[in-house]
Amino acid sequence: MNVFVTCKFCPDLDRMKQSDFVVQEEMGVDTHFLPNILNCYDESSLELSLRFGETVKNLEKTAFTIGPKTSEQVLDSLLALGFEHAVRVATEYDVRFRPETIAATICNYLHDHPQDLLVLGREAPLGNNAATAQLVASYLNLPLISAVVDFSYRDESSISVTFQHEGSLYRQEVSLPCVFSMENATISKLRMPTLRQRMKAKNCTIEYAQLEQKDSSLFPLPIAMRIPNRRRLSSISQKKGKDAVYELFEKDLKKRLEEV
Amino acid sequence: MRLLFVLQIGKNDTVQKVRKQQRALAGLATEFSCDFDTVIVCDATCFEETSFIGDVFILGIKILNPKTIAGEIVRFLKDKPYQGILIGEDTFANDIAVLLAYEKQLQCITNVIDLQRIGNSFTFTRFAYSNNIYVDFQVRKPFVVSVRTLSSSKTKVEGIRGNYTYLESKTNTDAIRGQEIVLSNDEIVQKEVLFACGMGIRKREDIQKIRTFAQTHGFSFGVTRPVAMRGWASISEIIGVSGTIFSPKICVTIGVSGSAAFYVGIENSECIVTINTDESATIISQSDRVIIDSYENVLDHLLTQFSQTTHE
Repeated sequence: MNVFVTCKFCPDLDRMKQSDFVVQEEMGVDTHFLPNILNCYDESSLELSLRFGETVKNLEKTAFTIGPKTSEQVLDSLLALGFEHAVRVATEYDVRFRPETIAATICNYLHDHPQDLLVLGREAPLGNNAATAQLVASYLNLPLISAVVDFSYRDESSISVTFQHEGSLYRQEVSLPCVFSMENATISKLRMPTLRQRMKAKNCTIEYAQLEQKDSSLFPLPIAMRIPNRRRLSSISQKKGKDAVYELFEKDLKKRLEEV
Repeated sequence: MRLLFVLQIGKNDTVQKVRKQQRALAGLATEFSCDFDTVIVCDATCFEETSFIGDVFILGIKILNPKTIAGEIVRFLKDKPYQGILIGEDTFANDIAVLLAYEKQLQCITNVIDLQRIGNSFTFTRFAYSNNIYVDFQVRKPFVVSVRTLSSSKTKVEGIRGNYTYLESKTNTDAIRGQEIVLSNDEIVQKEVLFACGMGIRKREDIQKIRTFAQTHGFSFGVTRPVAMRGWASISEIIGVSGTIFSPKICVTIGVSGSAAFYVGIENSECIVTINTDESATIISQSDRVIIDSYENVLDHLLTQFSQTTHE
């Protein structure tokens, strides 16, 4: 059995204040000064795949990313952690709002390297298109399980998958091959490789694949970007502790709660 | 021009919630001078006929899967000339929109938060950059979009009685061999007051104290993503883009920094009250009332005041 996991390294936008966001002429935001982190859904996908590998004999794991050379640091870590393949698609092309190009690139690789289980994150910055897993499932005509939070081995031809729908958790038995769109998994942190693991993997090499450019026929490109105005009254109490709470209720909350 | 709304009644959704969604979309259709039909995806055995307006098609499904639902809608769409399909807010809304876009070759935008029609042209707005930036897209007809956080529209549509048709589910679900419910979250019903806890809360017991208070007083409770990832709250308690979107009258944030991904979940609150030690935190300017103090100095007084006021 083999599992294919996509991952994306994106700027840690939580470190930027709303007031620091400036839309540039070419419809982008300068984020070069931010550290890159693994997209949270992808981090869960990678860790769950490693755990899955501990329960399945001869599971071949592939990590796949489209991104700059700096992504290779994390791919090296994934090789050390036990991924048999780490693949990078280098691109200077702006794919932020081109989910069809991203999905076609993934499918192009999968054409030559067929997989049993494809694990993709629900969405990722900067584009937040929330469309890649669905397009991959459509292009390859595979079943799609969405909002996945966990999965486990069942037998050679099927897998047990847990997903959430409107806050409730469901479990289904699904035939392979299939595509998972990962959501908030309980297992959310990717383990770190030990020095010994890194040494052992030092001869493992990153593989490269080509970008498959595709017209944006279904997903139009943006025509404008703007910063949302989220400013509110922001009335700061000059008091502290009990006095501040009393003032808050007298001035505002008492009346609102009466309406409730 | 005719639009199709696709709405889903999940296990924990009330019919009233979905009815409200339909009224909001119907108001929008009226503003756009469009007619509309509605497909409601649900377990047909629990459907109540009295609540909806216009032509309503009930699609009963047993296996919960976006591809199955999209397949049924593709079958329903045969020979029907809809110029736009709007998928109402639901866990699978984006999935269904993209799958329909591919099957029917429609232009598609996911997570739409605003819609404008100028003449024959439609402009849809959604977030990008993890909810920090609004992005506008011009879309040609026919289109499919998944709509997020559209709780009401300016135009009220009342009094058009529903005309119901029941559809038979025929899509092959062979790939899915069985389904069971693992955890039923019946506590998702939204209340008028929400308590939101962030990483500024230093003790697990304090999170539990606020959760218990909220539950016993009939308020909603939630946390930021990092609190859930720390293991101090369940995944289903996350507020924001990767969790639940709330629209309470009063939202109290405690120790929350105010990341955009979180803020989307409380943005529709009528009044946001914030307790935080950091005057420069993003959440401060995005709140109505702010107490700059350690939550430990404030929490007990705050809970007592809430308790007293709601029991008066």
